Amino acid sequence: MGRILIIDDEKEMREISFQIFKMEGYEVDTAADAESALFKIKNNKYDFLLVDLVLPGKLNGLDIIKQVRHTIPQIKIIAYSGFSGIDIAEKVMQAGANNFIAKPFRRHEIINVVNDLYKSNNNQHAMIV
Amino acid sequence: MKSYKSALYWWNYVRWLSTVSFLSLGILQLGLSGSKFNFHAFGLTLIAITLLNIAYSLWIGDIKSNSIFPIVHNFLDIIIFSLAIIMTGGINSPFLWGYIIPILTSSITRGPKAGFLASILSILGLMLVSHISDASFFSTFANTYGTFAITKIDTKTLLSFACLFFLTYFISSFLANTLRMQNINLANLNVQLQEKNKLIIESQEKLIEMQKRETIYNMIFTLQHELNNPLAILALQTEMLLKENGNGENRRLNSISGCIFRIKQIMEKIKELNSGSLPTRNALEGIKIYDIEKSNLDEIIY
Repeated sequence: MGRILIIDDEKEMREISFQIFKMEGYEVDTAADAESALFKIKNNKYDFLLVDLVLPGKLNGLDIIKQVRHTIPQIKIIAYSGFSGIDIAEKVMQAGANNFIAKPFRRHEIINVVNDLYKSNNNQHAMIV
Repeated sequence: MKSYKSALYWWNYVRWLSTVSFLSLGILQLGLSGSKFNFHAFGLTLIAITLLNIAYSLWIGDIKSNSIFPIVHNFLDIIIFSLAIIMTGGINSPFLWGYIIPILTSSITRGPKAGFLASILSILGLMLVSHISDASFFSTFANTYGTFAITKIDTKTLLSFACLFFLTYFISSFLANTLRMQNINLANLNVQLQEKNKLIIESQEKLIEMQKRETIYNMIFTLQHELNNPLAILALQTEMLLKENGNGENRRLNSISGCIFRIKQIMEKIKELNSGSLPTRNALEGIKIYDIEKSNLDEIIY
């Protein structure tokens, strides 16, 4: 299975996501802010990024997506947020994410998105808003 | 309109001032030794002029643009002044200048056409004054009330007065017309200003409404984000509990999970508050609430 980096400022969200993907057999890592996430991405090889859009600090989730998409084009990026709406989803997809999911989402929804992307060699673009 | 009315009031004062001048000159003439000035004629003329002035004062207090009053008044003005001139010495009368009063009054009150007509009538009046001394009626009148030194006006004098009347007409008409035009422009500007002012007020109201909506929308957006984050944790934790306890068969956990997603849908629906499209219903007497339950929640699930 692939390697996932979960980037979320909420500790509980990181923990539950960690458990879910660990149970699915993925190798999971977490980061609480954009700076530490970018540091980990630079020094590790990940197949997936699960990025919360609103993060503390100077950089937000969109900034991470733009930077990573530019430097590592093959990485699969799934963005999620407490915000919802077509306009936000469009912004995220334009920044370079493969998927966008609005919170709250069901366990199987996030797993399916990651699994589908893992199985797919192409960059699929889908949204669960 | 206000400045035009002010001009009429100002002119009314001038008319009264002229009347006082008429009175003063008349008294001086009466006091002169060997005067041929008739006291009764002077008195009657003074009364007539005073009555005309009172009528004019009353009229400008309640101006009606389509009134025939100014025409009749100006006509009477000329007749009275002609009589005053006849009765106070004809060409030698100290009140020959009096014709200027009806000319100015017509120009200021009714406009250039009326001013021109008043000038013509004044000239005619003057010509009449110069010829009327031969009339038998006035001869009788003169015999009854004393001697009138009525002398025919010669052509040069008549032309000179005609020039004076036309010059008076021309200058007063020009000034009055300029004032009238400025008054109209001012009125138009005032209308435009009122329209602009109305637009500004409407824009301000719209701006306030937009600011209110923006504030509400931002609040809803913030609330949605802040509630969805813990809801996501709740949803995933509930599902993990379901997975650990009976593989999705626990009715209570399923109910919790259902409620979480119902809250999500309600939050989505509340975003529509900004568009003002949500229906309302009476929750309690006098209290209306947005009818989120009845609105189609499916519409907001993308």
